Amino acid sequence: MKTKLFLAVVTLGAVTFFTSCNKVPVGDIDLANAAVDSAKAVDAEHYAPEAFTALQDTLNAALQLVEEQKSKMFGNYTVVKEKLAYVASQASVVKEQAVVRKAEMKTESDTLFAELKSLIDENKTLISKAPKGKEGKAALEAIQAEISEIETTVNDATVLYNSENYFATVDKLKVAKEKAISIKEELSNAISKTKK
Amino acid sequence: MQNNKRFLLLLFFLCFLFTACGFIFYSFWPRPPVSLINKARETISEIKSVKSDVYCADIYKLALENYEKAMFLWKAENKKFAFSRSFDSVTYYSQLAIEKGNMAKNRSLELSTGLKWYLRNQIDSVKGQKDFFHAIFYRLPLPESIQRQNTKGFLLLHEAEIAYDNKKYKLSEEKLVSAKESISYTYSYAFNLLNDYFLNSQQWQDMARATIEKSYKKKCTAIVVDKFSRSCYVYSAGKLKYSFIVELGPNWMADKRMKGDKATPEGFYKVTKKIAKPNTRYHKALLINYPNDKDLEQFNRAKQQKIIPENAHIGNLIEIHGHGNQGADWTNGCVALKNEDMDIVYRESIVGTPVTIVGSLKPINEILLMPEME
Repeated sequence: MKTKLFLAVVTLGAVTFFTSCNKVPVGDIDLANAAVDSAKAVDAEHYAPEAFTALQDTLNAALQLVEEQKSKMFGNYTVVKEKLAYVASQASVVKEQAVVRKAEMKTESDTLFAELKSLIDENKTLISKAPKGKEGKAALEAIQAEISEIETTVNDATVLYNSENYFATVDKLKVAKEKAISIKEELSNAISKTKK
Repeated sequence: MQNNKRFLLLLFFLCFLFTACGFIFYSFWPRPPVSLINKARETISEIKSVKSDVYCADIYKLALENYEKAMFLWKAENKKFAFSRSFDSVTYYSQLAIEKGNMAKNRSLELSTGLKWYLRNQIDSVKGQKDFFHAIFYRLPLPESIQRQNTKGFLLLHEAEIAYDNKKYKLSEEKLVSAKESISYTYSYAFNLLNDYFLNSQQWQDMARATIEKSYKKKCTAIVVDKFSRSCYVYSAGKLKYSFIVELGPNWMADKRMKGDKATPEGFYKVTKKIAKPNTRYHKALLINYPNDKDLEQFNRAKQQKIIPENAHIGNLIEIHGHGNQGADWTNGCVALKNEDMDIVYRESIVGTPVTIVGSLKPINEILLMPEME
């Protein structure tokens, strides 16, 4: 009887020993994957690229560690759980970073759109004030063509803006703004020249 | 006592069995190539950081696929009973992933360095073309579509530069290709226009030379207008005395054919009348004898050939006058000078002063070699 009891205790102990640390943290893995996906959903790949790549790397390393532990005789998932928890928490940080950066870029795009609109309007007003001589408008026509092209660029930028590609929008608008400023200077100089 | 002894023996036997089994299990337990897979993962991460997915997407894809395959096989093996697991294929695909990854890394570094160098040169070259365009062709009467195409090219060029500065070399390359396409198109259009314009180059130089010789021989004042360089030269006894900047009609590249074409005529003329205020709106003016006999002949021929409308008028009242310096070619075909300059030209001229208007005093090759033009 004593022997049977002993054997039962030993077996139970062995089973507990083998199974206690051997559970794959499926819930933690799902949580970490979902967290990374949620960061991806807010375009973290574009708006926080370095942080997102690091996050993805950490997740990959954690998933690899899961398999490593699975391959072991006595898998221990304590470190894996820590890593997955870190991924989940870091994903929120990356997500926040991306959201902030995206909002910044959106605001910058909005500002540039407004600035360009005002610059284009200003340039159009300046064109009407610019010296035309008798009736020739050749030089002004060239400038008008440039303004038209800037307007086309603004339209292209609007398409990019609507598809939430704010980096490309800002790049396009910055270039157009610079050109609009140079036209404004050119026109202002021509006008001031005739006023002298 | 006997029972205790038997119990201890059993305990000892169980411990021994357990240890022996553990040892056998441990010895024969299949081990995955962890360090190799780790290295494969690190390689994939590394090649992404050098933008292999952009520069050599095909090799990058292969490396990634092999890594994913290794991971997939590892997972599959882990699902099997421990002693029936085999990690050979995992090792194989991990090694392949590392191999392809290293290949992708080297190729990306090579390509990005090469592309960076290529882009810098190309951007500088297109910028040079842009400067050239502005210096030589800026004042050519180009159609609106060409002007817009040109502006578009420059905007794209600037975008290419921004992408280059942000180390987005592939994007920069894309923008540069579009920029070059637009700029080259406008450049060749303008170049052809210029080539056509300079067809009479030799004749213009001969005309100018003849006028200067006349001034020298007759010890008189002569005026030569160079339309391309927007210059008016005043010679006295064959020597250059003054040179002024002028403005012309918007269609200055054409030789005047008829009234309203806003072209400045080319040919030998002379001052027929000196006009001062209040008889002119343009400060002071020198009326020239446009149309001369040659102009009339050309006009009639063009009418016969139906190049110009039947009811076209040849036009008249072509003058050298003031009110210039407006920063544009604005006249109806006249030559406009700054009022101060016009005072001098007016003072130096008399009725009969020869006025020769030519397309250019310099041949096209000299023009194209000029680094800058006013």
